[in-house]
Amino acid sequence: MAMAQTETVVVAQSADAPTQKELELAEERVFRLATSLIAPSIVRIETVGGLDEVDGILAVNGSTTGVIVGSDGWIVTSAFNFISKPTSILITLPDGRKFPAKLTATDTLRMLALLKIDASELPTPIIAPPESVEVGAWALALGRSLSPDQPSVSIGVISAKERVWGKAIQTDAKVSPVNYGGPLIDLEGRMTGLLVPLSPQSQTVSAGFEWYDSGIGFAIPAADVMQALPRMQAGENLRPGLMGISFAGNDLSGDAPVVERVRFQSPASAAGILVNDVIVAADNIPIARLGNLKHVLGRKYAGDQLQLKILRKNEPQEVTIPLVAEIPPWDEATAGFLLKRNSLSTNAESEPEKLIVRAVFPNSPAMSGGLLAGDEILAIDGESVPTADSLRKLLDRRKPGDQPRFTLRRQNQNNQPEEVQVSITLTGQPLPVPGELPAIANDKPLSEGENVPKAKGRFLEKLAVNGREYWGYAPASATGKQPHGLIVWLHPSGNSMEAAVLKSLKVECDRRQIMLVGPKAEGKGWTPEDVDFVKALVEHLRSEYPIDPGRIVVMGQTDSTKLASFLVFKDPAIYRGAILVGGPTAGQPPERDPAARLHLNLTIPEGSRTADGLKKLVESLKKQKSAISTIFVSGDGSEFPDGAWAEQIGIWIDQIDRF
Amino acid sequence: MSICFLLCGSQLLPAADDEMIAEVQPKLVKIFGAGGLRNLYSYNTGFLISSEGHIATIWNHVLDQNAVTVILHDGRRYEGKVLGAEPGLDLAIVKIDETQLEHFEIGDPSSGSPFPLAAPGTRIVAFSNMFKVATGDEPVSVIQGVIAARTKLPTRRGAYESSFPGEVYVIDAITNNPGAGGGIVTTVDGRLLGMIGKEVKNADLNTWVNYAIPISHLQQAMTEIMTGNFRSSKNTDDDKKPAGQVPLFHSTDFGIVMLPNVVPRTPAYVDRILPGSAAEVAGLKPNDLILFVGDELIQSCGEFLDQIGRLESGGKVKLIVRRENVLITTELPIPRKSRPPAKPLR
Repeated sequence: MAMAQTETVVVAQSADAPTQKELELAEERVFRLATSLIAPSIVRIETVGGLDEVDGILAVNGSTTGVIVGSDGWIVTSAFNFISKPTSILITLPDGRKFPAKLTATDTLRMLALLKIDASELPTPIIAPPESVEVGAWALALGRSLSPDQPSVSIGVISAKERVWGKAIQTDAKVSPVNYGGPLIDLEGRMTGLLVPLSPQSQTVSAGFEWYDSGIGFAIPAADVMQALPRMQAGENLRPGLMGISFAGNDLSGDAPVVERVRFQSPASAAGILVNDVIVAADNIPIARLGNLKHVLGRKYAGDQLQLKILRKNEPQEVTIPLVAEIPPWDEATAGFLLKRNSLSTNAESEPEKLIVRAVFPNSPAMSGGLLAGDEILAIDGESVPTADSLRKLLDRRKPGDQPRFTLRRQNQNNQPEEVQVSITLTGQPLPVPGELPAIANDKPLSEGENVPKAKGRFLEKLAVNGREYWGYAPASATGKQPHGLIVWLHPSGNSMEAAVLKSLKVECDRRQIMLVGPKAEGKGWTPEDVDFVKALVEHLRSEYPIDPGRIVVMGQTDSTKLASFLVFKDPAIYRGAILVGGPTAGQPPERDPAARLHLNLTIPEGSRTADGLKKLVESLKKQKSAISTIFVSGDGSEFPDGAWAEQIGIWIDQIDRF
Repeated sequence: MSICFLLCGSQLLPAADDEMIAEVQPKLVKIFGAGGLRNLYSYNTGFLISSEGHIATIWNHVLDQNAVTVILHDGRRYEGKVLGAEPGLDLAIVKIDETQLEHFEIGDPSSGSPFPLAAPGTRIVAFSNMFKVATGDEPVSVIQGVIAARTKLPTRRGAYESSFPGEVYVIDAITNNPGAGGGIVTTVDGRLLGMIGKEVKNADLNTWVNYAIPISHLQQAMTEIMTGNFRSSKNTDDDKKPAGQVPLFHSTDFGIVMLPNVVPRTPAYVDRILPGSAAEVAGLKPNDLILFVGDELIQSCGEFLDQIGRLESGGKVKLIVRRENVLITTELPIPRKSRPPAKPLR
């Protein structure tokens, strides 16, 4: 541009400076000249067959545009032009010859498609070097949709570069299906980009279509198109690269990239990224905010590598992450047995744990493999398992279908302990919840005459920190050291249902060592602030009672199921599951992984209007390998269920720490 | 490339200057008429084509009541009467009682067109009463752009609702707005190029089309209506067959049996070729996908049968089919067949 300005000054000083009119006419000539230079490389694409409607919009079935990028018949265009999945693609060259085309590959990151026709010696455009593309410079958007004889022209300027997470050039020339797949060119007739619909918010193939002709148009830089070409020519479909990290916070321009979760079996996990790592640079570009990182990652394909500089406890580290196209959902491998729970004790580490099998689920892999209640688990595939935690970590490394060998200590017929080996073929989720499960025997039966602690039973209290009210029920066993489950009951709006819930679940609370607590909403219904109230309440109860962190669940009914599931989805480190009675989840659960081992229990009242919707929800959750159980009850869902329902809920809570 | 260097500095210069706009604005009028019901807008744009108050505008629902209100650029207000209309060209002429008005010269069409066609890439300025932003003595709105293409709006399958069958200017300025119809597109030096068309959507591409009808197409009808020599609407749409026409040919007349047409977009695959037929002689085979009849792209079985039905007796028809991954061009003779008399429509 500096050079151009110098020229302008010279022009202005010259005696025979052109008039404005002359300049404008000269400009028009240049527009036409530039267009005619690239026109032989712009082809018309027609499609036959395919869907009528995609993503709720009518599929384009008129002619579209492509650009020849390889003289031996390679044509690149916008993936948008094929969203209807046509059965036949036809190319008409500017000289009138027609060819059938094959869709060789698509690029779902940059929304490109590569076509091949059986032709040779085709004219290819000159590619504008990336450094020549300047904001404010003239940009012409060309297409072949309207007329086969001459490309259509829309004129504007380059509005911005590095748009849509580093992927695109933005222009105010009119971009629409009339020229999607066509080139954006400069005044020298060089191709600066390939016109595509794009949206910073969405990744679907039609995203950005709603902006057509609005003055907000996008083009993939021609240099990037050419760079992607060899892989696409080899038939590789290019996809956005994933590393498998989610971050604390979601303010792209505010929050620093602090690792909140690392997806199990993801490249980030393989590269050793840990929770609380802070990313400070990516591909040598300094990163301060989430948005900076998205900008670097947004340009990368699966198969590319990402170099990260991270701070771990203020120590700098460097890792290289090979990006992947998809991270498979974690399907927790399960055997179907429970261990005896050890008492909660402040100095648990000093006492060696014994891993005694408490129950083996009927018809489970554990039962088929020959595991028996009372067995002590010593090792898995020869690796010793000193604690329940280490057993879980070892099993988490197995996939459904694997056959780990369990080394057990078992009493033989002569009541002598002996070592036994069994092989168990692990299965995936969801594992059916057993219909029956023996209740937990107390360490020591409490009998009269002993120092029986006074059972607390039902209580009504206020939380010290905020004065908020809650009711609760603690079984007599909750005064001991046996770990207890906890149900946090979030009542539907306007009705605490205290009596009904307690009546339904009291027997199970006693039998299966479960505490019940019912925070009360202030005013009519729950508010977002109540998320913190519930969290504080759970913390308080954990300090007062022997509560097992692995069995804290939230329960809601009808209009409170969304809040209940929301809490659990948001804080999988605190809550292990949700009981949803006659209502849906709040959106999708987070990807299940060893750090978010969520269990969902959906109660479907057969006579309710929501029953069909809930059944569909269950099906979709099963597909994601969620640990989901369903209980069907009669009625329309207005009554709180009890009886057999409560028994099943009791068993369900009692088995969510199963292996 | 020296021209490029000259231009880079001139980017911010306006495309059209004040003088030109000041010259054109008095020739435009705002028209208010019927509408308002069913959420239809009730205003158009028009442009003066004689000093005695002849105004060209778009033929649409706004003119339904025959009498309209016309407001000049300076706020003068008149009752206008619809003098005549040519629905085939989307054109109407409204007359107000006034003299010595500034206007565009339409000229005598028989003495050659003073309106040469502009090429794609030509800069344009569009003048219109879009969204009736201009009220009273305010001039109409001006926007700028370029001619994007010169093309026929494909009327096949009713993709466009426009009735205008000729070549139009598609422009890259957004003129497809309520009230813009009947406005004008000029060159940057104020020469009249076209009349802004109706609000229509291109169903093939699912997008709105911004277009203007070249004045050279309207010239004759304008003159005829003004001079009172206008004859009733000609059938300008040669492509269209009268409604209710029975198709003259079926694919079996050529020996082609198609796969059953089950869904709207069933591709046009050949099922069987009748022995001894023209199709067999031409070398067509089962499983050929028919892609073109003449120059018309065939996207479905239904379209193929439709195109075959429209063929005229005698002569030849070109078919392009895809077999495996090769395009094959064939020519079939069209049998002689006389058309049954069309049933009168009731």
